[in-house]
Amino acid sequence: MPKPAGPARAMLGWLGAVAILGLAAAASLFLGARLLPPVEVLRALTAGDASTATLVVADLRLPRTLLGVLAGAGLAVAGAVMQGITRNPIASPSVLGINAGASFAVVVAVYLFGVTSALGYAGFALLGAALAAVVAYALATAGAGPASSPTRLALAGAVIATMLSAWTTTVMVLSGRTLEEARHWLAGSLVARGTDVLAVSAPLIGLGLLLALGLARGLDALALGDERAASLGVHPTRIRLWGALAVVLLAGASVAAAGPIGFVGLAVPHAVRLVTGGEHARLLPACALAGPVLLLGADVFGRLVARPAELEVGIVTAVIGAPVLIALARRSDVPAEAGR
Amino acid sequence: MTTTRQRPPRPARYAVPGMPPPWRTGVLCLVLLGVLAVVVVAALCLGEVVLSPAEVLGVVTGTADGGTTLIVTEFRLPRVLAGVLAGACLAGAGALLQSLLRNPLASPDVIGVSHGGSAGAVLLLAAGAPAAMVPLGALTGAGLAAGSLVVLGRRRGLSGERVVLIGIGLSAILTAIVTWAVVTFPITVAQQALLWTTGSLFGRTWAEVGWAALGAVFLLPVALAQLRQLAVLELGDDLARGLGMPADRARLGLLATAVGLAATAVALGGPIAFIALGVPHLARALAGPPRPIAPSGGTVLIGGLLGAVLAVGADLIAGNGLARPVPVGVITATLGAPWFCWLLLRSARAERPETERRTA
Repeated sequence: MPKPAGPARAMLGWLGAVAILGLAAAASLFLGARLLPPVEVLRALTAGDASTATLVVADLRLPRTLLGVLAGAGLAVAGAVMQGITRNPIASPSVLGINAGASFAVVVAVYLFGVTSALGYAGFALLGAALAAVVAYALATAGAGPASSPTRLALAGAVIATMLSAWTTTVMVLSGRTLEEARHWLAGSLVARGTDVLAVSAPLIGLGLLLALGLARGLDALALGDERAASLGVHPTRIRLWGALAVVLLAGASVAAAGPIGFVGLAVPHAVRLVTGGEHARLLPACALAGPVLLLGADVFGRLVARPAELEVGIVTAVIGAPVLIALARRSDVPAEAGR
Repeated sequence: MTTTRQRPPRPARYAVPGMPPPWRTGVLCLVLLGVLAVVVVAALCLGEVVLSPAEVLGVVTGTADGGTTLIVTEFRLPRVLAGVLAGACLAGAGALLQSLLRNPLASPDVIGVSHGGSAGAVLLLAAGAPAAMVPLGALTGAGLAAGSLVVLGRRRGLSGERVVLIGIGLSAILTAIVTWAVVTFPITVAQQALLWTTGSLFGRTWAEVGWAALGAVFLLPVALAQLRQLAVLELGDDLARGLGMPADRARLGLLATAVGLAATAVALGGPIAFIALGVPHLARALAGPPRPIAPSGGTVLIGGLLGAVLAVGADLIAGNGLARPVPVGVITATLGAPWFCWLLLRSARAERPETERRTA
């Protein structure tokens, strides 16, 4: 656990994090398969004419960058909240069944209804994510009364996710057409989602972020255990319910917009926690800054490494994010008892 | 935690209050063995050519005709045995890992062993290797993943938390390899790759079953012998050291056993969904209170048998029950998950909050 830094150092840290996010966003605007001179990019952002540069920058790279910021923040904060309400370090939005629900809904939509539009994908993904999460949450809390244990929540979600992803695979193994249609979406990508998808998911993610920040104190109390949280005047079940709602809003909207990107929600909170400590009032905003950095960095990398083709961002986040997580885990002195 | 209504204490029926009767585990094992026998015979009988149990028995006594003998010994028996072995090994690996890593969600999937197997198999498939090579690729992949896990995780001791985090990182990288193959290669390769990642027992040969059996016969007794160390580790590292057991060496040995079991199963049938995650919980629920997370010999045996029954039974349904054959992992997940959910609901009603935190 890092020592509490002085206010000046903390401010410096926040400024640094914002600056890194700015750099990542700039990289996402300036770099790509088609190498444009920086002056050209700046002109394209302001001009609004019909040149190729404007087309590339304003219509492709700008929405993509915005989506990266939104989805990155949404997934990372959702992961932090999820780990908080389940008190389980393996928990992530995908453990509540969100990725599996979204994937299954999209695959079914493609298989049965032949959906092809980006907005259609997003709608079904959001529906599937929300349904899976509601079922998992209801299952975990039904009959348990006041003692909805965190383990129960994590287990119910994991089982729902296992079942749904097996069904997703079945549909794709049986129908080659569905596999062909949906496999790029399922890998997770920020490409060509269109502004209408962005307009749908942005308010949802914003709402989720506000809700999550409002829960910060309750999540801190929950980390002490249910009994102590209750003695501090915090209602554990209520915090869990609101937390789950925040996770559905954040991760559901992110997955709807960018596809099931698995790693960000799991790893970013861990990496950030090693720097900020476990206090949620600092952890959650830091995740909202670090998530987009990872997602945008991965997206830019994926654009450059396989030019002129692209590598899906969901693949790259894992390949560049995982070594960071491993290095951080190796560096930290997690005591053996911490897994409890 | 305050409960609104007070439950009257249950009268103690046995020597140790709250403990299940001592014969419960034995009876459960016998019942599960019986179920396994029924499922195995059914799996040998059913298929494109339906045989009667008498005909299958004829194969055993050597009185059946050549065609029947061929069907049973060359096509169906290897597949059934593969199911038994894969199910038992996955269940054992899951039970060890959940206790070792102190996490009820831990399974070979979480620490990357399954994904290593999948990635190895998928890369060989993508390279156009012959089918016989694919399990070898899976074994290599799983072994490499497990080796990196131990090498990376071993730094001033092998803490559960660190192993989990590093495993998550490894499995993310390996999943990315599988996803990349699915997105990049032609549809036929992508479909085969997906089949592998769900788990399938289709077309197993005697050679593969033989190697896996060798692994299982060696590893399962080792796992049972190591259970005592696991129980001591549950008490915490300091107490384990106080009892004269080097905690890290014990943990390394247990991890090696669990990973070996998982790798054996994955090389044989892929990471068959749900068994490693769900069966240890089901076994604990069947064995009755007090359900500590540390598996006892009884729960490991029950779990192994349960895993075998579930894998063979699910493969039976996957191969015959549906309009088109599907991978067995789909059926284990579809059948296992609702059962698991039902247990979750039932335990929520039956349990008092104090015991709840230690279980499930």
